[in-house]
Parts: sequence; structure tokens; C-alpha cells
Amino acid sequence: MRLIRLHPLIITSVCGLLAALSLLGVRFSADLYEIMPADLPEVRGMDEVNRFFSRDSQLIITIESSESALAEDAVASLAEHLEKRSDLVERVDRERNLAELVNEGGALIAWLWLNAPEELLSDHIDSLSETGAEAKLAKALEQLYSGLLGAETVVAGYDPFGFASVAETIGSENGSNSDPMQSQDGTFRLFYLEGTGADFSDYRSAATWLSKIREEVDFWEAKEGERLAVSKIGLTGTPAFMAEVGAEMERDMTVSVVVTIVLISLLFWIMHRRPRALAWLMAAMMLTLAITLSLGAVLFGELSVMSAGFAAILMGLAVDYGIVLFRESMNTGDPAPKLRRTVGPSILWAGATTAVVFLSLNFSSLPGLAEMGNLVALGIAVGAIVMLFAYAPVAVAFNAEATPRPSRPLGGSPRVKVSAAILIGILALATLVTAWRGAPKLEANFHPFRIRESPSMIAWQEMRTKIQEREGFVPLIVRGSSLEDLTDATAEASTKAQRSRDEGLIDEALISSGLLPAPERQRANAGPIAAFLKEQDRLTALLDEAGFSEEGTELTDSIFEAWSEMLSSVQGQGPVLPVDDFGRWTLERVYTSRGGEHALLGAVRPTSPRDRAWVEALATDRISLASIGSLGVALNEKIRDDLWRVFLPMLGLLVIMLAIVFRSWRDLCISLFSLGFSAAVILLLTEAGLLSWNSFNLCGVPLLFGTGIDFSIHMVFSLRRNEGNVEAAQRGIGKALLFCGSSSAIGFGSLATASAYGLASLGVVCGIGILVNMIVAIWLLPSWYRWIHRCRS
Amino acid sequence: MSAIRLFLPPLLFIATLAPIGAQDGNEIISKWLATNSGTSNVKVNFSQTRTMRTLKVPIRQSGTLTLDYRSGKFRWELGRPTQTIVVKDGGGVLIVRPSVKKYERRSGGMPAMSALARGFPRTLSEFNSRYRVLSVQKVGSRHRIVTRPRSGSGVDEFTFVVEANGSRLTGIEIDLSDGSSVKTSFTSVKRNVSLPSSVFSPSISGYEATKF
Repeated sequence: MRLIRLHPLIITSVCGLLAALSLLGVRFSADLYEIMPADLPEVRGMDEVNRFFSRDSQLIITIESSESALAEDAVASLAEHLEKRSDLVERVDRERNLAELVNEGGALIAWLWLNAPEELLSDHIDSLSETGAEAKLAKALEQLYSGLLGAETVVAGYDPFGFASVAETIGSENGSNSDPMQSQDGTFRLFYLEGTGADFSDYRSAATWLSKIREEVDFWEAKEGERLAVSKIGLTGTPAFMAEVGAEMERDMTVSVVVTIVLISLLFWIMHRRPRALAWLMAAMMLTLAITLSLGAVLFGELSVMSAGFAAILMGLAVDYGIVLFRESMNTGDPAPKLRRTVGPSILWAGATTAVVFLSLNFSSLPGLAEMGNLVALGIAVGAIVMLFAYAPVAVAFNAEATPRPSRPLGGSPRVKVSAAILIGILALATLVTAWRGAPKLEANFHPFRIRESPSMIAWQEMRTKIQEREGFVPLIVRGSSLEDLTDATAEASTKAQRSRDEGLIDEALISSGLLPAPERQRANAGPIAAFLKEQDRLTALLDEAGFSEEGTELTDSIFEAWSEMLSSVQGQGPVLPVDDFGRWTLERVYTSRGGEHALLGAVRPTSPRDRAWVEALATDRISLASIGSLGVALNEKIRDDLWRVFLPMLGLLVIMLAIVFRSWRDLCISLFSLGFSAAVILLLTEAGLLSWNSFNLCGVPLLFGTGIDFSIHMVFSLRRNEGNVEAAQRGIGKALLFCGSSSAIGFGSLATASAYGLASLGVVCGIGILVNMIVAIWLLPSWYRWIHRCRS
Repeated sequence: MSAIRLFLPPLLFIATLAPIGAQDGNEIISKWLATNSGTSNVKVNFSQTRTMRTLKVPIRQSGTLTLDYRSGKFRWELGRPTQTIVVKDGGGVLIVRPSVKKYERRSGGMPAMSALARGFPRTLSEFNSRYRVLSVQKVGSRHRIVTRPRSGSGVDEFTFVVEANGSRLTGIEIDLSDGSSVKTSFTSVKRNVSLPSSVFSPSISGYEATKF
């Protein structure tokens, strides 16, 4: 045992380094939708919006200024500034003004005509016959001479033959007049930035890239911000989320582990005052963490945001085994092998029970929680082995050297009658409160993926509020395994939307089926367009004669050029897409194809966004809705089902197990009283507003149930062994429970600072619940035991 | 030719473009706005030159603008014979084209007409709430108050041309973001004239409703 002569700092540093290296080796998944039930159409919708309509390298920059014109200038100026960093920025896509739209939109208009219904195209071509074209020109000139300075006049100047009307015809399905890139008053605007020079699938690389972009934005803001009255700049979108979520997860895990270790050390110091033994215990905990993280990375791959909390919980639980070994060795002075033989089975059984409770989270509908449960269960197994085989010999060696210190009592339980009165009083109060106010409600607006104080999430929410949600629209995503399948699913979505509108479930639906590439229509239109190409010279000459300048003929020319280019691809494999960047970028806002799947983005405006009836009426396997409004309700329904499905059978099983373990109805009643009492206290804390419940932390109930039963079993058996001597039971098992309960509560409680709101709320509820269980088991249960057993005698 | 003779004309021209400080600029604007005090209505005949990027030759037309400050109504009329009439119509505008006997009621208003719909500003605070002054320059016998409408709406610059002596508004120049421009010069301005109500309610009897 020369090893224990090592300086405590060395061994803790080595194990700490191992843990840190393991942490660096872990890859966190910044995909927040992975933590939620994938069968909910709302979750699927959000995942699909993210998967199909955003790219890992696509950053969204939002700018707010005091006035519309300044916001417009600010967007142009910042976009220009960022474009200069070609090592970071591949492309910037900002809103085109009307003139730019007309100048750059030729290829998109050409594609829309190629993809349009045949009769629409033939009507337009017919309308540009010799007499028709002259009439159209006359109308355009009349508009130009009207003196009105509206958009129609500008368009008439650039598009006298009305080619752009196709966008209006097809876009009329799109209904909404809202501008997707600015708020109604124009003071809030956004633009897209396509990044380069980083591996955007790796959040650490994305974070480095984002910090460089942030530097550039800060530099620009310092230079131009005041002049352009910029009040806020936000960076959001996939790379910002990934960078922030990844960094937050690393921070959460590090902070919660450090806080747990410090507080547990303090607790150990108060109870045992043995610094070297403490150092080794810390080293064993960090070794447990390092092994678990490495195994977790191999078994589970990327860890989700919820799994960031497992380390602290594991620390709080694994330390218990070390403490049990340390105290047993202190009391008996047995050598390590004997210590393992006597305490080993109880540690392994306790570990197995706790692991089973955590594994039961797999029955939850929340994959994030299930993953966390699996990691903790794995860690408990690792922790039990590390403590039994690595820490036990160390604990024995330290105790052999130390002088035993007398154990002080914990302080008495209340008198029997008082404790009975407390039990009855609290239960009665809880019953009354429940009868009066009903069972606690789940938070309806809860979003488990909400990350606290995340600048990118704040910017995202602001963007949704000011631009996308201002008209109450919710994204609708139609998905297909092929273009034909998508076309079929889109038709189904349109039918369902019509029916939902008739039933008053939605006000409006925007489903742009006309923007879906239609290879058959393209092939049918290719002939008439090829014939019409010959008319270009005639139309250009007409424009020239009518007094149109080069700018006035530019759009018409660009449409003919794009047609020439596209026609050569029409007979090829697959549909023809717009031939220029602007056209492709615009189409990708609505239709995209990735990984062999095709998706169309639409929108619906529900009459009651929180009511799920409209979601159920529209959603199918191929149609999903990214509805945040109804997500909270959907999750609550799901978790409520889980609770009945998982918790009730679990409760029945545990009651049977307790009956077998105790073989005494009185002890069974005491154990159930303890649970009921803890539940009543938690209920009252909830009613007092100190605790709140949501679909995430409700899954902590089975964990609390498990620890409550665990504590009561330990205390009842100790009281039996000590023939009802409360003081002896409290001095022995009471102290162990005090440490174990406190350390577990610290482990969970340290998650209160976690950036994921769901995880933080789980930490708070479990931390408080475990403390309540512990207090009940140590101080109240012994009095109830005496009371019930005295009644018997 | 001596160097001084070569450079004198441009130097003289530059001297006439002397920029004016913010304090003086405000004074010039205030003086101009003060000329509107006591004015209940105004009838302006103007000539307009629209230089459009898409047309080879600028369009020159004349017209009349009638503003009634008390009722907040306006009538804008362009062309001889009249081609277009725009009047305030509740919260929107009524556009009438006598030449083709068609009209359109537009509820949302028209961005370019919104300045007219609200009339010219009458106080400095009202002016500043609607326009951001970019510069005030003296060009010959006129002051050019170059502004940018705070609402944006496709207008890059909105310039008020004011007499240096008398501070009367003599014209407006609008530079649109597509590079086109509209110059309006006031040929005559009459204040507090008698306005029959029919001025703001042009007859559309027999006209066809359309969407221009």
C-alpha cells in the first residue's frame, strides 16, 4: 500500500486530469430535438425544419435600429463588412430591394414559367403575340406615365411584358403578405450568412468560427453602430445554437461536478475530518467519472444536453459506496477482502436497485431522460466496482493508521405523539389543499429544450416574435421519400388544410404546391418555351422602340437566357432547378431535398394554437407541424400517460417487494407512511410556490420514490437490529443516511445552475425531494416505528 | 488661359454649395415651416420630371396638388389632360384614371403618397419625426434640405427645396433606391383658397373598378 503514501494532491490531480481528458473526448449533440419524443408531430416538425431548411453553416444575423431606413442601411453595411472576410464567409444573403429583385430575379421567373401549369404558360405566350405584346407595352407605359411611385410602377418599368406575374399567380397560394426578412415597421431586419473555414458539424469548431464572426460584428458595431442607431445585433441559427449549446453543456457538466465535489468534500470534512482519506475518495469519484464518460462515449456516441447532468448525479450517488466502506472499516477494522465480503453484497444490491430506478427512465417518452438514466446506471455500476476494489483497500489503510473518534448522536426525534401529530397534520393539510385547489398542474408553456440566457436562443425568439409569428403562423412541413411522394403528400396536406379550415380549426393555410419541381410539367413546357425563344428579338425591338433603356430590357433578356440554359437539362435525370444562386436560395426557403428525402415548408394559422385538435387534424407520418404553442400541452399529455403507465406498476411492484422484505404489515405501513408524508410535504411546497412541475421533472418522481423506499428500508432494519433504540439507529445508519442523502441532494441540486431549463428543474425537485426523504427517514420514521410497535405491545 | 481663369468657374460653383451647420439648418427648416402657419389649405401647380432608369427619356408632366390641413384631405392630379387623380379615401386612397375611366380604392395607402396624405410637416418636431436631415446646403438662391424618410419605403433621399429669401417651399426632389428620381418644381402656390368639397371627391360615376 505504498501508493497511499503519495501526496493527496498528486493522486487527485492525476484522476482529475483523467476525468478532464475524458470530458474533452465526449462529443455533445447540440440537437435539442433529440431529447424529446420523436413521435410527437410538433417535435418532428421542429426537427424537420432544422434538418431540411437550415444548414449547419448558415448563420442568421438580426439587427434592430431606431428607424427602418437606418436598419436597412445597417444590414447593407454589416453584410458588406462581413463579405470581406472571405476566409470566414462564403456568401451573404440579404433582402433584395425591389430593383435588385427585378435585376436578379430573371432566372427564378424563368424557372417558375418552366414549372408552371401548361395552360398558364400557353396563355402568357399567346398574350405576347404581335398585337398582344404592343397592348402590354401600352399598359406598362400608362402605368409609368401615371406618376404613381409605387412598386407596380417600378415593376412595370423593369417588366413591361408581365413575366413576373407568374410569381404572383403561384405565390397567391402563399397568401401571406408578410416580409420574411423584416418586421412590419422595418426596424428589425435579418440576413443570412453562409460560413466557411470551419467544420460546422463540430460545435467546438463552430464556436471558434462564431467567435471570429462576433469579433467582426463587434468591430463593425463600434465603428458604425452609433451612426446607424443600432440598438441590438443578434447571431442565431444552427452554428450559433451548436456553439452555445455545446459550450453550455461542457460548462454545465464542469460546474455541476466541481460544485458537487466541493460540497461533498465539505460534508466529509465536517463528518470525518480526514483530509487524505477525502483526497482518495475524490480521486475514486473522478476515476469513476472518467471511466463512465469513456464508456458512455463508446456506447452512446454523442451525449445530449440532458446527459450533461448525469455526472453530478453520479458523483452524489457513487460517493455513498465509498462512505459506507469507509465507515464500516472505521467501525470494524476488517481488512479489505473481508470488508468486501461483508459490505460488498449490500453495496452491489443497493447499486443494482438504484440502477434499476434510473434504468426505469427508459420507459419515459423523453429520450433525453432515458439516455441520462442509462448513463447514471452505468456510472453506478462503475462506481460500485471502483469503490469496492480501488477505494476499499485505501479506506482500510487509513483507518488502521487513525485513532477512532467517538461518534456523536444526531439529536433526538420528536416525541412519539408529536411525530404522529406531524404525520397526521401534514397529511390532512395536504389532503385539504388538494381537495380545495386540485392536484398540482404541469407548466403548460414548458419547453424542455429552452436554454437559459442563451444569446442565440434570445435572438431566435425575437426573430420569431417580430417576423415569423406576428401573424400567428406555424410552420407546416410536408415530407416525402421521393418527389412524387412529396407531391402526393402535399396534395393530402392541402386537402386536410381545407377540411381543417372548414371545421374552424385553422384560419388560413399557406401551402405552395406550385413551387414543387414538376418534371412532367417541365417537359411539357419545354417545347412551347423553345418555340418562344425565337420571339426574343421581336420583343426586345419592341421595348427599344417604346423607349425602354438597357435596364428596362435587362429582366426580359435574363429570362430568355435562363430558359436557353434550362432547356438543355429538361430531358435529363430529375427535375430542373433554378440556374442561379438567388433562384436556388429562394426555392430552398420552401422546397429542399436532402439525404434522399424531399420536404416542402408551408404554414398554417391555427384558431387556438395551444389546442391540439388542429395538430391532430393535420398531422400524419408525412405532415408535421413545428408548433411550439401546442408542444407544452403535447408533452404534458405524453408524460401524464407515462406516469400512469410506468409509475403505477412500479408502485405495485415495490409494495410487493417491501412486503416480502419486511414480512411485517406494520413496517410496510411505516415505509408507506414515509413515502406518503414526503409526497405531502412536496405537494405543500408546490402549493406554496416553491416547486413547480413540468413534463421533465415529473420524471423525477420515480427517482424520489426509489430513494424514499431505500432510506426507509435502511432505517427500519437498523431499528429492528437495535430493538427500537432510536439513538443507536440514528448514530449508525442515521449518520450514513445523512451523508448519503445530503450528497445525493447536492448532486441533483448542483444541476439547478444548468442552462437547460428542464434539467435545472429536475435537479431542484430531486434535490429537495431527497432532502425531505432523508429528514423523514432519520428523524420522523423512528418515532413512528416506536409508536406503531408500542401499540402492538 | 491662366490657371486662375481655368479654375475660377468650378471654384465659384463649389462655393455656392456651401454646407450649412446643424444649428443654421434647423433655423432654415423652422423658417420654412413657419411659412405654413396660418395656412388652412394650399393649392400648388407644379411641373414634374421623372427620370426612370428603365426609360431612355425622362417623363415631364405638370399637375396640381391641393392640401386641406383642417380636414387632412389631399388631391394630387397629374397630366394635362388629367391622367391620374389620387385623393385621400378614409384610411386609404382613391386612384382615378379619367383617360381609361377606371378607378381603384386602395385600403393600405401608398408609401409614396403617405407624405402627401399627411400633408407637409408644420412643426420642427413633426418634421424631425418623419425625416432625418442628411444635409442642408445653399445652392444659388435656394436651400436644399436633404433628408431621408425614417420609414424607408424605397426612398433614398427626399429633398425639400426652399427659397433662401422668403423661405417658401419651391419644390421637392425624390431619389428612389433603384436609381430613378422625381423632381417637382412648384410653378404657383396659392394659400387659403376656396375649395369646393368636390375637389376631394372626384366623380367616378360610370368608371370601372380595377387594380392598377
